[in-house]
Amino acid sequence: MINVYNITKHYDDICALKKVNTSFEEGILNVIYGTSGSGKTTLVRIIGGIVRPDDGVIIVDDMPIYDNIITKKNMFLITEKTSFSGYMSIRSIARRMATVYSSYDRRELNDLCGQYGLKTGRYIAFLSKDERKLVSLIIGVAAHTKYLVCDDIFKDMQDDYIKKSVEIIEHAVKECNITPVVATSDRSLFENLAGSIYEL
Amino acid sequence: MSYDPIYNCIFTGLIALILGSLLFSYLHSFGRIDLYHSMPITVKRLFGIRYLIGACSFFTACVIAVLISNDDINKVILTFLFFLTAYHVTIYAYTITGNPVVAICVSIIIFFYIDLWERIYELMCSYETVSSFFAEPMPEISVMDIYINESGEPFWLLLVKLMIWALITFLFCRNSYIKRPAEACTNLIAFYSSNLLLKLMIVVPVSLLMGKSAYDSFSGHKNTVQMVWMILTAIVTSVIIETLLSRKFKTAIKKWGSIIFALIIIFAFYAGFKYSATKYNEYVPSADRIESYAVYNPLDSYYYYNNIDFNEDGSVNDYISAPEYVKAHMFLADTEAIVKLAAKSVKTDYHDMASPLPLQVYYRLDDGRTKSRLIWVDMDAEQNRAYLNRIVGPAYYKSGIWQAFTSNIPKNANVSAVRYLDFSSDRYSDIGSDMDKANIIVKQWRSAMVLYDYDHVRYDVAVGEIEVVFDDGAYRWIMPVYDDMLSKIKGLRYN
Repeated sequence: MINVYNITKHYDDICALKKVNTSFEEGILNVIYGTSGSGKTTLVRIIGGIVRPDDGVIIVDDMPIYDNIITKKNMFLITEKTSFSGYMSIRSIARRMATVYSSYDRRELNDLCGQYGLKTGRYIAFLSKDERKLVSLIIGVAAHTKYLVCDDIFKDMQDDYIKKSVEIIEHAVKECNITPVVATSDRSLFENLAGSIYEL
Repeated sequence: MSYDPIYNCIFTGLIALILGSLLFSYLHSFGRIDLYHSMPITVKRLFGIRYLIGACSFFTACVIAVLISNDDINKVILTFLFFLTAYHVTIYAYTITGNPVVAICVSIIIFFYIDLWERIYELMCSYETVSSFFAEPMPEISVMDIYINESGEPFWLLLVKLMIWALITFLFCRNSYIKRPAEACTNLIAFYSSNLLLKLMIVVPVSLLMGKSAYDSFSGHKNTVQMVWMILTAIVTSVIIETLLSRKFKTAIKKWGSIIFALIIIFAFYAGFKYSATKYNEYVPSADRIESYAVYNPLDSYYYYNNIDFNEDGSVNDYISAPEYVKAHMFLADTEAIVKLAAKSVKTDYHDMASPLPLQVYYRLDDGRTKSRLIWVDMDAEQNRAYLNRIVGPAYYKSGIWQAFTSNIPKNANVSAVRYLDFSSDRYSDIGSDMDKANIIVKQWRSAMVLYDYDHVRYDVAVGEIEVVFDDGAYRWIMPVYDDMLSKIKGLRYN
């Protein structure tokens, strides 16, 4: 379970988050809903243990997340700006991830790539923007971590890629026993799937 | 890897900059930070992995240089340490900034920062009594100066200095990497405290330099002008930098606290430099502390450069530099005279003297230390001339700069000619070409010279020169001959 206690974050004079309290349960799709500029990305990055909050703490399975290898091993983070090196192929990225995440399932990666028409030998540089986001999601799911934290990657995505992304997240919940925490500004996206919605 | 220090400096520095940029530029990319920092790797380990990739790459090149090119291992070690320092500075610059261009500029500025302060020290501490003849080499402090090693410091000292620099810069870069906030990608400068540090690093030296420039430019109330200029420069520079960093002029005006803090630091340095310069310029050792001393007078300059360093077997080694010759041969003992002249010199500005004469003095103290100073002697004061005669009169010739000529030529020295140059006809006349003839001439010259006091020798113009030539013209002794001496030295042919 991911517990968010009193998270506050300022950037210079701007208050991005103020005393955010919530929790994200295991086994269901958790959605963070907010309009543009509401602090979704900040919260996702704090949950992912990248950004340190000014106040408050994130507890994942009874342990703080920041700079904690044990909790991070159970979490895969995808942000809007997550970028893999363009000179690497999907396969080589997966190989690298496998060295970091012990639960990495390459078969899952191959299956999902095959399902969505992506060759694992393709280099990231030759993928379109939406394909790269899709690949990030596939790689995240294939990591088979307990939690998959995902920022609003659906923004500016084409409709068919949004649909594919939602299918992958659904697959993650139902087939892979992954607990996704997804941030989005589109309330309708996970209307039928979301187990819990937290509104910023 | 051939060892030309300056070429190696530039090349190694560039490699360090490139490697540091390649491995740590990800800190300026949101996407890359999200990727790497979300992985189950601690920040310290992440730093360690990236750091070692760069360090090991250059280390491999060094090993290849030693094994294949047979480069001097000492020089390769120093090059590696120089690389590490430059590499650490680059990493540090990338961690404290949020933009690659700014990072490269900051890394270059930080690297040369010590050189800037060395220059400020030279300018601010106007040691008017520095002896240029007996100048002691300043210890090398900046990384580049240590590596280039123009002063010829021993290897172990260079090694220690570079290791200290490498360690200090490593601690800085590692510490700032670990503490760096991930959201710093959007800022020019990552840490607010770096804002203040960066401001001080620019405001303090710029204010000191502008103040010194004003001091040199004005003829009256120099100290007051200097202080006013330092204050004005500090205020203006602080406002400009704060405006650039915060992009708001109002913020710059509000942060007057940092301006006051900068002024305190500026005046602390100013006071320190002034105190240091005053203490240096006023230094006169007490007579009982002086074991011996040596002096140099610019009027003697031409003849000093013909001091030959003979080996034990009589062969000529080379010319010994004039300062080294004076230090090795001059052991003057009339301490009262020199202390009196030095004490008068520190009380009077030489601009106010009627007839100032510069005298460079090298003190050997009883505790083994040596100090050198330039003193000014007002030749118009009769008592000063009396003191000067005691120092550089006949005794000076016996035990001072002419001492090489007061002993005979070494037995096995290869004397190839002895001749006299008459200045009026500009012609050489041969006196002889053997050791015995040379020694006779030198002895006669010595007897004639000992009669001359300071005034006579220095203000009279020589009418000719005796040359004793060694090793077929490779080296020469040159002894001036004055009008009164002509009749006392036999064998000289003149018009």
